[in-house]
Amino acid sequence: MKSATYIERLNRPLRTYAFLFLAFLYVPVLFLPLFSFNDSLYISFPLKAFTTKWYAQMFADQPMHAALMNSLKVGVATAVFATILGVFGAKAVTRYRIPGRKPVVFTIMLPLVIPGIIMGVALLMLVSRLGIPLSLYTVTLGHVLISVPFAMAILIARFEGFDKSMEEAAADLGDNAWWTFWRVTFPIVFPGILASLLLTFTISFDEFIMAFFLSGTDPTLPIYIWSQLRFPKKLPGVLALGSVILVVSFVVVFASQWLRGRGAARISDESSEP
Amino acid sequence: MSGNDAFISIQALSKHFGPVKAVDRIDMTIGGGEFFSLLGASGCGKTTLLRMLAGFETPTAGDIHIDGVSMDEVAPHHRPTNMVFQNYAIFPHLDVRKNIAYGLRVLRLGNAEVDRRVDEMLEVVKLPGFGERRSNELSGGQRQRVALARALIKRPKVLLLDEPLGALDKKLREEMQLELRALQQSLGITFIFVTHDQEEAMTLSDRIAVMADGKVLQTDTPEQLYEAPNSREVGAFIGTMNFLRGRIVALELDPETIVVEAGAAGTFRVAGTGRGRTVGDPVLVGIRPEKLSVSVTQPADGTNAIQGRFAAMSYLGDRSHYFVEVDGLDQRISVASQNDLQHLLAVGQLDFGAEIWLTWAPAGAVILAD
Repeated sequence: MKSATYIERLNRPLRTYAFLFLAFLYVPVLFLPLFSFNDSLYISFPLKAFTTKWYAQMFADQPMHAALMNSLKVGVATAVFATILGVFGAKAVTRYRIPGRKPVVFTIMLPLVIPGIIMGVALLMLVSRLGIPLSLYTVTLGHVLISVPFAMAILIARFEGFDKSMEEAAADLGDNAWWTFWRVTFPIVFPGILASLLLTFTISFDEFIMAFFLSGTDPTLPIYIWSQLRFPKKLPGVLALGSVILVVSFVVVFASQWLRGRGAARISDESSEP
Repeated sequence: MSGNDAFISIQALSKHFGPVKAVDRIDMTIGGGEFFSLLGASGCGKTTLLRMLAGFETPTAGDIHIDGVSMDEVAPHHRPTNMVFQNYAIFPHLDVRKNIAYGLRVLRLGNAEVDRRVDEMLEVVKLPGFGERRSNELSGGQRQRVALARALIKRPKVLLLDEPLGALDKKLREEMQLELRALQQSLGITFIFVTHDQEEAMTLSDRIAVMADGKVLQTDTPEQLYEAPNSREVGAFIGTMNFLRGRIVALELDPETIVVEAGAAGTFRVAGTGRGRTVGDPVLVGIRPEKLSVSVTQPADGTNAIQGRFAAMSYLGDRSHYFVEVDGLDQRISVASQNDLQHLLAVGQLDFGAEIWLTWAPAGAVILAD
């Protein structure tokens, strides 16, 4: 590699490390689809015959469908609310002259470092004190609480990344605050909004602790999966479900990357048309 | 300044940021159709003043009238001004056409009219065929033109320009200066131009307000600012100026000439500045480098002259700057001259350290406020 510059030159130990690192990340995950097609109740080698019956079982499992729908509902609601709060919060802390800006941001970010179990117990106490029955609404409330800091982190970066003179230019050209937001601010931060929606949905979708404390009779998917692990017969069905979720996640991530590659600017342009 | 000398009137305008007085009780009138520059070093308040005109900053005190209307309660989006931003602020999610047409939404024009106006503006700023491009596909100069077109399409009464040429390289900047000037003259719109570049301000402006520390030092035409600065700061900011401190020792009433005794710089005459002065007054005399000429022989008695030593020079092609040391003066005197002294050096008549005389005409110096 004579042509490579010093910084571009390949480094053998680092390459090995990178390979091991990726293996460490993904090999355990790959056992999921592997055993989901294995014709045995027990997760052990050697593999038995190939089967799709666990998938059939999964698709027939009504309570699982209900749990999946619950998680989707909570996830979408969480993503939307957390992102809306994130947009307003990020705009406020990056655009306005707020006294005590730093303590405000610190307070908003605090749930990031508070252990989930503490938050869960605290919320459970509050909710039961107020006499609010546990339901998917209370789960959503908990999820919004833990998702907002992530939404804020993404959106603050996006707001700081674009010059506030863009918004001044819009005002200068005759737009009031409302039009300025929809014609300039929103399209420019749109990729951040998309990223925030995806991330907060994902956080909610696989969240266990808060859901454990705050869900009523309707379980979310993680709660349902956890409850099924007590029954060995149900385990392969859970594996099948896990594999499906894995595939869907990959598709979503690749789709979002592809959208970004196609140019976030173009997407936001179209969405900005009144 | 045809007809309307006080198209924009600024009265006792102040803007404080905490303890900092960014703009400090400024009074100013700007005529309709004038090319008016706010010139000063960074932090002098020129941009804050411009932003108050646009409505982005709320004055702490004072008022602005544009075309007879108080801007006190008028939001930026209702003002008859448009702005070209320092970084152009081209919307990255819109192409050139949509950027230029942005401000037309509020006018509720038909599509055909919008297209016609955009085409017209693209023509004016010499960007026909660039309509489909995005901001990241444009050069700095092209972005500048888009920003200009976007601001002008609303046909504002006043165009505000915040150092719009600062990011361009020298050649392009000079080109754009000429274009801006031509554009302003053909449109007849009032331009208010913020810059820290005195040459740029001189090239473009009908009048310039020189600012420092939130105050206006002097408002005048470029010629007046250069030839008759009213203070040491203005003299030093616009071009280069040599300062000599002295005392009036005699008045010659016709033609109002004073005789100044300036210690180490000797005694000399300053013409046309005698009115209202008395013998014994301390004075600060300013002399531009190009008003001085170098003589290798002692000039005749009665000529304004300082003797000194040739200390350093910088060669600038068309002209050279010479620096002359005078015993008893703490600052070297700068002399600018067309490159004929170069000949003197070439033939070896003048070495560094050589004794020379600087002479100037009595009308070549000005008396400054200290």
